[in-house]
Amino acid sequence: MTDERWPRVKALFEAAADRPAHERDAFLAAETGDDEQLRRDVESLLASDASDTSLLDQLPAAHAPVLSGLLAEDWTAPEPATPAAGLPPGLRLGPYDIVALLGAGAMGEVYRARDTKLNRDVALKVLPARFALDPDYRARFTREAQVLATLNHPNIGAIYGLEASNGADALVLELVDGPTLADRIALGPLSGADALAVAHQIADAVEAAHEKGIIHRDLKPANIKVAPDGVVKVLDFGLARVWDGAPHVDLAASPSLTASGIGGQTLLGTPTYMSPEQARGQSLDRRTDIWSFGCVLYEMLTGGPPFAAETISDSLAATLEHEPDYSRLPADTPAPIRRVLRRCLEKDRKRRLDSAAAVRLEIDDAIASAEAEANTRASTASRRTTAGVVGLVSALAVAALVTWALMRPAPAAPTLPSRFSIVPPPGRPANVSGSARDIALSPDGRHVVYRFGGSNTAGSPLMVRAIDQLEGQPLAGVDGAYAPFFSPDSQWIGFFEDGELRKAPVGGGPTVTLAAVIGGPLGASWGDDNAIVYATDAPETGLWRVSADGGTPARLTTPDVARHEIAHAFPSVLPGGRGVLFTILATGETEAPQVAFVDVTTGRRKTIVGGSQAEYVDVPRPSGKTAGYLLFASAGTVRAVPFDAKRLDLLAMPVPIVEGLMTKPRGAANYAVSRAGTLLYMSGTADQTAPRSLVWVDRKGHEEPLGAPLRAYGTPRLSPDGTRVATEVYDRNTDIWIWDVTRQTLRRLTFEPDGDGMSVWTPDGRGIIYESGRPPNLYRRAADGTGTVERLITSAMGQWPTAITPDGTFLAGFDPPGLIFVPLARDGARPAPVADMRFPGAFADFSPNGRYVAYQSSESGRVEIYVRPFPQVDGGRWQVSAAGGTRPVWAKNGRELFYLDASNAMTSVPVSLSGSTFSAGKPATVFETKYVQSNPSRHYDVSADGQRFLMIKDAPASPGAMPASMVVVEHWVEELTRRVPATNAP
Amino acid sequence: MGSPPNVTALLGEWSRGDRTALSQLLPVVYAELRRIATRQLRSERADHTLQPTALVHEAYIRLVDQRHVDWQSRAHFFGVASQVMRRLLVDHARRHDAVKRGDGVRAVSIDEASDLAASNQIPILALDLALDRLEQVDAELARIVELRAFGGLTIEAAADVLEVSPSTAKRQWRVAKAWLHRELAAEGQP
Repeated sequence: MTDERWPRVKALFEAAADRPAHERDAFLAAETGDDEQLRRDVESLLASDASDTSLLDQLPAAHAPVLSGLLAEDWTAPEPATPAAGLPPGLRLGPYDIVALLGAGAMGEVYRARDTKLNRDVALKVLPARFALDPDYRARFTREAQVLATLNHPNIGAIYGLEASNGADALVLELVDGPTLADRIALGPLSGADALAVAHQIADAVEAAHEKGIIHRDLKPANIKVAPDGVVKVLDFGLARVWDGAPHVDLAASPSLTASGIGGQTLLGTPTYMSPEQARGQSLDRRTDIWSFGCVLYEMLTGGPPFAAETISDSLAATLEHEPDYSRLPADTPAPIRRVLRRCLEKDRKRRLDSAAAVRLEIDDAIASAEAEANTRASTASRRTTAGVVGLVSALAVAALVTWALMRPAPAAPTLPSRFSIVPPPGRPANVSGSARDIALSPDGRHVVYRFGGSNTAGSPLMVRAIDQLEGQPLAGVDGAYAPFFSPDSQWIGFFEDGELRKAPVGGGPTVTLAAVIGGPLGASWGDDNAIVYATDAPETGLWRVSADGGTPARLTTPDVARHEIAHAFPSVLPGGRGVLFTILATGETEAPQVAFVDVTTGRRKTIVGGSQAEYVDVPRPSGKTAGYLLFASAGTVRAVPFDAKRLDLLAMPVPIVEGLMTKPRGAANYAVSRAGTLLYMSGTADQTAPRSLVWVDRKGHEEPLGAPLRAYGTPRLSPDGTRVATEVYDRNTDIWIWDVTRQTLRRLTFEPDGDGMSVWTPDGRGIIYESGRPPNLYRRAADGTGTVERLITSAMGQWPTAITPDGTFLAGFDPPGLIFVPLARDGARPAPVADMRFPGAFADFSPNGRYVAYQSSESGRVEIYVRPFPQVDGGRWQVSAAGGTRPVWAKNGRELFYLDASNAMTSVPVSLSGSTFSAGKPATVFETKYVQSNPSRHYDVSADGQRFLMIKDAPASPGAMPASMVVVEHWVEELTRRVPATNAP
Repeated sequence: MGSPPNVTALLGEWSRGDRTALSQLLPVVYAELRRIATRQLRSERADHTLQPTALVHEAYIRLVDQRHVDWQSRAHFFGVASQVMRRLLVDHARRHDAVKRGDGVRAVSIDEASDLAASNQIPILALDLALDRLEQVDAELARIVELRAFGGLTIEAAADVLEVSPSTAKRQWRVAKAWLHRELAAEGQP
């Protein structure tokens, strides 16, 4: 055909292809007229189009493994170093080992760290780098920190000192676990008894600090911790002043420590709790803390601050101009407490209570008068109610305030959290392929959706199960779904399928396409504003937003490449639709995911906390109010933390509420929450680092654990004498460990930062040969860890060892795309693969007499087991497996060959090695598949007597749990608050 | 970030008509693809096949300064990466053909690989030649084949790269497949 004709041919083909088949002939005849050649051209294309052209569609998938091998076989340049964000666990600052990031607050990041000298955990508040740049400020800071470190009081979170090392400055603080008073208040007002018990301790703390001339300046519920034993700790004493004078305070980054210029002065403090003199920018004395104390007491009793407002300026105005609304106090609030409040909240500080001691005395008075009243009332009731408030503070306070509790309406009995499991029926297991979440919970909490069956590469059907039903129903017409999610009205299920975002009614019905999407699904969320925010792994794109009725998607965020961001994932639209929580994924293995927020209208972003897959839920409380919680996943746990969704502030330290959560390598976490506060999560394992056990399995399939601890094991290899197992353990790096079978000890053998693995024992049992480095080259070292590491091969191409001949002369390895055989030099010559002994295949193992090699190859089109003579590898070839086989191992008696069949079942074939011929019998299954097996390794070995098989077994996520089953937790919020006895008393 | 600084500039030069830029781009992109592939194999090790499309995407993000790249350059990058994939497969097939072991153009390195490709193998060398011919006839069609079949891009992603609507890309892909299939059938290949 000529170039001039082609446009016409193409146009006619497209036009004809769009028509029904029976109309095409007439159409072509009319269009081509006498041009027979043109008609034949178009017809042949149409015929070709009608035949199966799907091979071309499948080409990338079909060749992906080949490409993997080809691309991975060379390594030419070192990985560029990528700086880690924040301080990585394990980093040492002076005597302190960083353990974990606890939170990022107004004044920088706070880490849990281990004091290795004093053997205790501390909190490290890391100072922003810019503080270190101003020597004057730094000097002042140091002086102040030293003064603060002299504060020593049971109700004050201690400041241990200042640590400057390793390029970072950090304040070392007492680590106080437990929720803050703000968390507690978020659940509703405190009872009078609790409020006074807490207030008494706060007043004590403030009094002690004032005696040393230290003013808090930022006293507020979020700075007050209530430990499980009821002891109150006031945190950050004096730090507001220490931080004062910082060169810059980033307003956006510091919502709770706000600086704004008023009359040329810098304001520091939290507007809601700021005293009038503080709001005016005047000089401060200890009476500012008395004011803030009054605000805190008011908030404990009413559930809200006395001068709350939407904006900072309104809040300041209220503080300066309005009186608190005392009518919000519970009607039965005793007069002495009302008096304390009014005297603390005097706008004119000259009329205010002038010392914390005075405040404390007033509170003691209130307690005393309550007690007096109690003594005149029915004392018989006290025993019954004491249980609820035991352990609060002094016996005095308890006795006094029991009365008050009695006078209040009887609280409802506490609701206990309940859990029940959803176990997918046999034959329809949950599907956890892909990089997104696989489960969803309807906002009304009535339906659970999970992926099941299907394939690992093309999505799966969805199972819809009503909470109150025993069985689920597959969602009709859906078979390739990822990342299911619900509409806010719980009536629709959204999902990704075939490169599109789609939705279908919960009860079944036609699937509706909403938009074409590019890239692999990384989650979606349907907001109250009827828009869906979704994420994919397509490059250069972050979150997208599209109407839930369909339409053109609009870009919402773009990953910041300069900050190593590779994708924005797992969106969750906040109530009202104005903002979206999402997860920032960064390149490099050291960069942990971060939970962040984006404002839909302004595009403003804020990073909130390290973790992934965040959800926000406003949980209804018995008091009729709601309490906002941020949930996120981190290290296989769901953590919850009271969260101010307006200011995007964590109100406390996150607390784990679910452990053993199934998480995926890119951060997707299989849990979901409903608006009613129900939590759904999936346990089980989806990734490589999940714990596994080493087990013996005999020929009858009976299992017996080796006794080794649960680790992410791989490629176990028995030493020739059977006394030790060399095994990979996957953590951040893969390394080789030795399990001593008789002594029952597990010891790490290799330490290379790039990872080591794929070990092979030398025949004398004294050494192992393994792969290490980039590219993976062959190394040898003593199995007892002594001596030096010897590099056997240096090549740009990587290779993995799989076997050594019994006489130790040859090593077989895999060097993509085929087998290599390396003579192990004894006289100083450098080992190198023998060039003419290469052939396609993998997983070679030598016969016990060293004269045959078994391996697998796909040369027939299916992977089968073959045997060749050795070292004359071209001298013959026998097929051993009949219907597919991988990973052969010879029995040590030479009469049997083991391999895994197409379904990964352990298979045995009798073989004969007599003389120069090889023959094999009929394969038989030894036991069925239920053990770990994955590329590119052989995760099993065979005992010397050929009667036992060393297998790797996935450990259940928790005792008795089935892999990939789901758990529904109701009333988890109650469980969270139960951990705080002091504030839990009704 | 340790990305070679010249990739963005090279893409620009290439899209402005400097054909020599391509010869400089290919090795850089190739090296990066290999680096990523090796790292992924080493770090994950799991039941795991590298997806060409994911590799290409990550290479793009690592190599190209996205603030200074226009849409045309972006399309060119994906074109280059797809060409790298094509060359890898073709070279591999040639080598293997020369060795003439077994019965065909197949050397899948690790077992499960061949399950997919086993019975219905696309003859890579024949496809490569046919694609060269298609390029002479209709370069647009050849580009979408390269992006789809070798770069692993979806219709939508290819449309995005080529700056055409998904429906246009879908139509082009259909024509291209029919053309290639006819061409291969004429040679006695499936």
